[in-house]
Parts: sequence; structure tokens; C-alpha cells
Amino acid sequence: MKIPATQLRVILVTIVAVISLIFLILLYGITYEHISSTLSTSNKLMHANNVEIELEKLISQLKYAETAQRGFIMTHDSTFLRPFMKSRAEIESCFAHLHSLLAKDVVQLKHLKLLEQTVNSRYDLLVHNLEGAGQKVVVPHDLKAKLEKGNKKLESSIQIMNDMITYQDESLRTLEKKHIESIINTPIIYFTIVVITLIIFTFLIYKLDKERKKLIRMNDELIITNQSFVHAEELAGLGNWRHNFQDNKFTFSDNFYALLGLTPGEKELNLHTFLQMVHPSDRLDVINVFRNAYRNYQPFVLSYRIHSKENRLKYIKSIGRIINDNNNQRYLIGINMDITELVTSNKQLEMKNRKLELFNADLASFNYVASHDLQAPLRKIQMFISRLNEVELPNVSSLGKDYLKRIHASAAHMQILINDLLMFSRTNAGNKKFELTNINKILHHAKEELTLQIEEKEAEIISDDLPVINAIPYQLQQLFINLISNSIKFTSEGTKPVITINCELVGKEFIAPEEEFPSESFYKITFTDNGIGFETLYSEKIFNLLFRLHDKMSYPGSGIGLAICKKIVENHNGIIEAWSEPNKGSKFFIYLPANLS
Amino acid sequence: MANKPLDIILAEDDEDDRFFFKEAIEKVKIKTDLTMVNDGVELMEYLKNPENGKPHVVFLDLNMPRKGGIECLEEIRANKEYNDVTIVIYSTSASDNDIEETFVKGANIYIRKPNDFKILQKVISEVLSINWQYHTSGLNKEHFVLSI
Amino acid sequence: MYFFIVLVTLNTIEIMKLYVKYDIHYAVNVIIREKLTELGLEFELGGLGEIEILNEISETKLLQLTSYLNHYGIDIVDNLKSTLVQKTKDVIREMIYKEEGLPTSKISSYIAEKVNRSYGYLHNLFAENTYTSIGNYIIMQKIERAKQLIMEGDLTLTEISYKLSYSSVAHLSYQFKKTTGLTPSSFQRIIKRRRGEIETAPGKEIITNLASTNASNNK
Repeated sequence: MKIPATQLRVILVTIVAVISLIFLILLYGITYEHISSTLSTSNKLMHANNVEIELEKLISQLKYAETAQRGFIMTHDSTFLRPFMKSRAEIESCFAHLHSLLAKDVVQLKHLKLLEQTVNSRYDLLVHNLEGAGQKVVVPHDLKAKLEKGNKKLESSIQIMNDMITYQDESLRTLEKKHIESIINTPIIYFTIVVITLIIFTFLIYKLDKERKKLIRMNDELIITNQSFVHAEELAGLGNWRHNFQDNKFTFSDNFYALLGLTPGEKELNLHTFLQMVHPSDRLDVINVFRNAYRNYQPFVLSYRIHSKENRLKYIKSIGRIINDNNNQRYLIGINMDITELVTSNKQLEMKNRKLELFNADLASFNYVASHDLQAPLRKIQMFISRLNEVELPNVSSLGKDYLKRIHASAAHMQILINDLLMFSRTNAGNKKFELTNINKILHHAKEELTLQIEEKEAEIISDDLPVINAIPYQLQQLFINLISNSIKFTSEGTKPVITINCELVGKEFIAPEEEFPSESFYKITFTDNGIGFETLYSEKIFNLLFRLHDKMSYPGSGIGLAICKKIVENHNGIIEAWSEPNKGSKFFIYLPANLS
Repeated sequence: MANKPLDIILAEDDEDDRFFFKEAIEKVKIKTDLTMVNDGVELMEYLKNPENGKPHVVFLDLNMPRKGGIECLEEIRANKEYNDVTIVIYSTSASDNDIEETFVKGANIYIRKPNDFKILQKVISEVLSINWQYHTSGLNKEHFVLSI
Repeated sequence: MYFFIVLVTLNTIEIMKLYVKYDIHYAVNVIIREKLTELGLEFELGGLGEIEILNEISETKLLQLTSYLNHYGIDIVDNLKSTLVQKTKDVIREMIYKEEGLPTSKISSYIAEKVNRSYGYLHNLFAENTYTSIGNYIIMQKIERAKQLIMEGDLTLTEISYKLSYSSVAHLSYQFKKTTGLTPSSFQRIIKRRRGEIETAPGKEIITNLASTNASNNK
């Protein structure tokens, strides 16, 4: 599953916060560690000092005892003995104190034991000396030896004590050294951690700020979008609404209300009140569509009428579908569109079209009826002329005979005219269904239809292989019949008509580049004959209705045949052109769209 | 068969046309017995009357009041009994498509009313002759279509 | 002689159409044999509608036979001239409906030889009795044959024109149009539409092998 960008940012910020928390805890740990280590170091220092003090006390007591001894020996005054006795007690208490102080230090305890022995033996000597002195029998050299011995013991005790002090000092120094080292590192570690934490926090704040700004910007944009949306809805006559499935709440846009002729939020609008506004005959459709949307989650498009509050009939087009949002809430969302104008203008257009169609049909049927119904009386006139010619001719004067002949010719011409007009009106009206048409077959059928003329004049028709195009078959056949019969008709007497039909594919730029054509390429079909031809200046006029180049006697015709051709080609979105010079034959070019759809 | 006159009905509302037709058919070599009715309703009544017997050839104008030629054509062809009656449409010229429609509906011959009496005579003679050939020479009547 | 006839079986509910091929001569012969035997007559059948009765025949029996055969649309032609005309017609039909095509020799002499009379005599006799000429009758029969072949649909128009000794397809089309007023294609379309085989509206292109072969002809 793809995690959206916002969610990713939240995850990132959380990670950063957790990391900085870990760093803070780390910082606390290190600080605690340092404080406790400093505390133990100072404890140790105090301890070492106490030991030294006790030892100094010990030495001074020993010296004190010495001095008291000497004083007694010299004076035999027992007052000197009292401090001596006191020093002994002090020394005992000193040892007891030292024992408690050095209980954990094995090396110092050894030293202490040795010291105790030495001090005890010294005191024994002192006591001995004092006993001697008390008997008053003093042997000088004996005394001297005893004093020397006592001095020696004192010196060795002092020596041991010095050793102890030295050891104590040394261990203190290493301790101090270690302590100083750790104290030097502490600020660096503190500093690093603080800096890292600061960086992380800065990053965090930066990120949060960026998010915030983004949110503000998005919010601003949303406000603008919303406003333009509201505006657009008003302009386009749209209203949107949604229905939350979970809390069954409907939300309508302002213009939704406006479409119904309500002011936004004016009335408790819901599905029921909305349906009340729907035109009664459309209501069931709307209900069914909604039901289908709710039950089967089917999207819908529907048009119906409503009566707005200001009692106007409006045509509404609704589209709607079911959506799920990010929180898996299901909505039916829909857009209503006011299509009243569209419907009205369409209706107007339809009406105009119908009128036009009716008008065209009227015209076509007028043409048809006129030419069709004109045939009957004309035919009867001709019949009576033929009866007169047959039965009554001996009774008619020569002038009368001439008149009869002229009436006959006029009637004949009128008949051609009516026939061709009839055909022209059929080309205009009639079935105009396009289908894929093989022009080879069209030519074949045209030749079949003209078989009598072709045989009579021994005409030869040579043609290329012709393409398949999208065309109205019977009209195309009429076109070929008219062009071929035209060529056969306008051939000088004694000449066998030769008609060549060529075909090539050309681009639309070949015809008239500035004009709009539905097709990119055209089939150019060229009819070339060896007939009498015509002046080049008439090459456009010959396609005009009722335009003729020859008198009725030499080449009877109505001047409609080529107009029909033009009409047919125009029905096919094509172009017809002609080129000719007198006695050089003529060429007719037909351009028909080559696309098959 | 050659000796019996052909029973012919012409359904035509135009008096002049009936006149020309009567005059023309009288000049044809083949012996005929012509009955003329004014419109489609009269024609169908005539055909339904058992006293009148089955005609050999029916000439039908297309544009007639009350009941037109096409309606008559369809009614006659719907009745199997009249299968071998030759139906000739006798009308003003129409488009090839309209003519084809009458053939598809069961007409045998389509005559575009000529504008010359001699031609009318010739056409009627031709029609009766070809009809006679179809009857006497055992030709396939299904293929009997002719447009004059 | 083979013809297509349409058998129409009329049910109250549905109509079934069968298109059959049959030999009219054979059928007529069977009927005549049956009827003659029924009346107890001895006979010999000639090639072209001649019946030679070997024993004597009473007036009543002849009338009986006439009515029997009339029932099947068979007329007894006692007139020699009529017999000759009928014989000429039969010769022409046989000639046109031959599978191997029309005779290579001149048609007038072929007919004269077959009927055993001079062509000039037959020509006049024919015109007097049939409202048409031998020439027109031949054309009509040829076009009828062409119609049949077109509807069978096995041959192209080129092949049909060859089979019926036309110089070209154009010539056949020409004579077809002149005789029927219709082009071969529209004739085919009309009959097919009548039979309900196609529902093409007029003016619409129909699928026909007639057109395709002809179109390739002008190249």
C-alpha cells in the first residue's frame, strides 16, 4: 500500500522526537554517573585525611610518652608518669580508630598490624625502663643501652607510619588523577550531546514549521478554490451535495439551495423534502435511481424536472456516485445541473428543425406532385394530338398540319422537362442512406440501364478498376447514367462514342485547399469522351438548372441532367467540374471523399 | 384457348384514359372481353361477385379515388385463387424503385401510360400477346415480369 | 424439357414453398398413356405431341378423351396447321433448353429440318397462328431460359450469354432489357425479393455474380 506524503511526514517527525528523547535520557545518565563518581572521590579524600591525622596523633603521642619517660628517669618525679599513662590510652584509641578506617584496605591493615607490634614493643620497653628507674638502682651503661633500644623502636614505628602515609598519599594521587581525567571529559560529552539534541530539535521545529506553513498555504488555497468553486457553481448552474452513510448527514452546496430557489441553510433540506420538489411524474424515476444507488452502489445520470420554491419549472440533470474517503467513510456524492436553458434552446432548435423539415418536405412533395400531376394532362394532350394526326389529318389544312407539328414538339419538350424535374426532386428528397458501394458495380448497373442507347450508338466504355466508397448507391448510379448518356448524346453523327473512365486518389489540397472538407483524400473520377464538346467558358454554367447549350431540335434536353449530377455529387460532399473545347471532346471530373465512414 | 376471348378488367378513374384504352384494345388482333370499373372499390366488388368469373388480365391504375392500385394489387395477390391472373399496372411514369415495388408485390407488367395512341395500341397488343405466350407455351409464370 | 414450378402447400398455420424441377414432356406422356390405357385404346406416341391411335375410336370415346386431357390443360389439336405450329414451338424450346447449348448450324434451317417443312412456310404459318413471329418466339424463349439460369444462380451472365449463343454479355443484357424492360440484375432482385430471399430495398446493392463478372469484362 502506498503511504501518503502527509502520513510520511508525521512518521518522520515522530522518529525525530523519539531520537531526541533517547538523547536526553542518555544525557541524564551520564550526568548522574559523573556526580556519583565525584562524590565517592571526595569521600575517599576525607578518609585519607582522617588516616593521616590519626597517624600524626599516634606519632605525637609516642613522642609525648618518650618525653614523659625521660622526664621521669631524670627526676624520678611520679608526676611525669601521669601523661605517660594517658598517652598509652590515647594510642589505644588511635589504633582502634585506624582499624575502623582501614577495615577495607588490606595493604594498610598489614602496615597497621606491624605498626601496632612495633608501638607495643616500644611501650613494653618504656614500661621496663620505668620499672628500673623506680628501683633507684641505676646502672648507667644499662640505661644507655635501653634508651638506644627504645629510640630504635621509635624510629622504626615512625618509619612504618611514614610508609603508611606515603601509601595513602599515592593511592590518593591515582584517585585524584582518575577523577581529574573524568572531569576533563565530562564537558566534551555534555557539549556533544547538547549540540546533537539542539540540532535534532531545530530540525524538528523546522519541519513542524514547514508543515504548518504548508497547511496554512493549503488552507488558503482551499479557501480560494472553494470560493471559485462556489462562483463556478453559480455561473454554471451547478449544485453539489453529499450524503454521509455513517452519520446519515446531508451536505449541500450554497448553489444547490439556490437552484431550488432556497437561501442556503434556510430550510431543513433532506432527501424527502428534495423529492417533494421533483415534478410528480418524474418522482418515481428519481426514487428508483436513488434506491439503486444506495442498494447496489450504482453511479447514475438522470434528467428530471423540479418545481423550485419560486415556482419555476426547471430541468435538472443529476449525476452521482458512491465514494469512500481516507477514513473509510462512505458517501453518496452528486452534482445537480440546471439544464433548463439547454433544454429550452434544444426544444426551440428542434421545433425550427421540424419546421424546416416540414418545409423541405412540402417543397419536395410540391415538386413531386406538381411534376407528377402535370404528366397526366400533358399525356392526354399528346394522345389527342396523336389521334388527330392519325384520324383527322386529311381534314386539316397545311397550316393546321404545321401547327399540329409544333404543338406536338412543344408537348414533347414539356414532357422531357417534367420527367427531369421529377428526377431532380427525387434527388433532393428520397432515401439518402450511405453505404459501402463498389463503383464497379454501379458502373455495371448504369451500363445495363443504358444498354439500349449503348447498343444503338455502338458506344464503347473503357474503365479503370474503380474503388469502393461510402455513397448513396442509387444516386451514384443516376450520376453515372446521366454522365454516360450525356456523352453518348452529344456525339456528332457518324462517330462512335468512346467514353473512358479513369480513377485516381488525390489529397484534399488538390481540390480547394482553403475549403473545409470532411475527408483528407478524394477519388478523382474522370469521364473523358470524344463528343462535340463545348466552349470552355460554359464549364461552370452547364451545371445550372435549366441551362442549355443547344436548340431543342438538334439535341433535345431539359437542362436538368447535369444539375442533377451536381446535386448528387454535393449530396456526397464532393465536387464536380467540367472541361471542354469545341470538337475536342469533354472531360467531367468528380471528386468523391475517399473515407469509408 | 385461342378461340375464347380474353376476359380483361380495367380499373381506371380517368374517363379519357378509359376511352383511349377501350379504343386501343378493340384494334388488337386478340379477341378480348373488356370490363371497365371506376376505382379500386368497384374492382374488388366485381372480383368478389361469383357471377363474374375469374378474369385473365387485370389492368390497374395506381392513382384512384377510394382504393388505389397498390391496395388492390395486395388484396388480389393475397388470394391464392387469383394466382394465375395477370396483373398489369397501368399508370403514369414512376421511379424505377416504385415500379420495382409493384413487381415485388406481385404485379406482372408495368405499363407507363404512353403519350401516343399508336404506342398504346402496340403496348396493349404486346401485353396480351406475351400473356398469351405465357399461357400457351407453359412458361414459368413466376418469372413473368415486364416493364414497358 | 425442364421447368421450375412452384408448389404451394397451404396449411392454416404455415406456408411451405418448394422449388421443383420437372420434365414436362415426361409428365404429359405419363398422363396421356394413363388416360389412353384407361379408355382401352391401343396407341403409339410420336416424338412431338403426336398420338397414333391404332384401333378404331368412337365419337363418345374421343369426347371422353378430350375432356380427360383438357383436365390437365392438354388440348387435342386435330388441325394439321396447329400441329405444325406446336411442333415448331417444341423444336425451338428443345433447341434452347438443350444442355449442350444451341446448334451451330443456322437456326432457320435447323427448324426446317426438324419439322420437315420449308422455313418460309413455317414462318408464315407461325405468324398467322400465334400473334408473334418465329424470331420473336425464339428471343422470348431464350430470355425465358436466361431468366431461369439467372435464378438458378449457377452460371455467370457471361456463361449464360455463351450458352445461349449471344455474341457478348452486352448483347444479352440488351435483348433482356428490350424484351422485359428490366436489366438482368433488377430482374434477379425482384424475383428474390418476391420469394423473400432478400429484403433489399430498391436501389440497394445486391450480391450478384452477374455484376462481378461483367465488371471485369471491360478491362
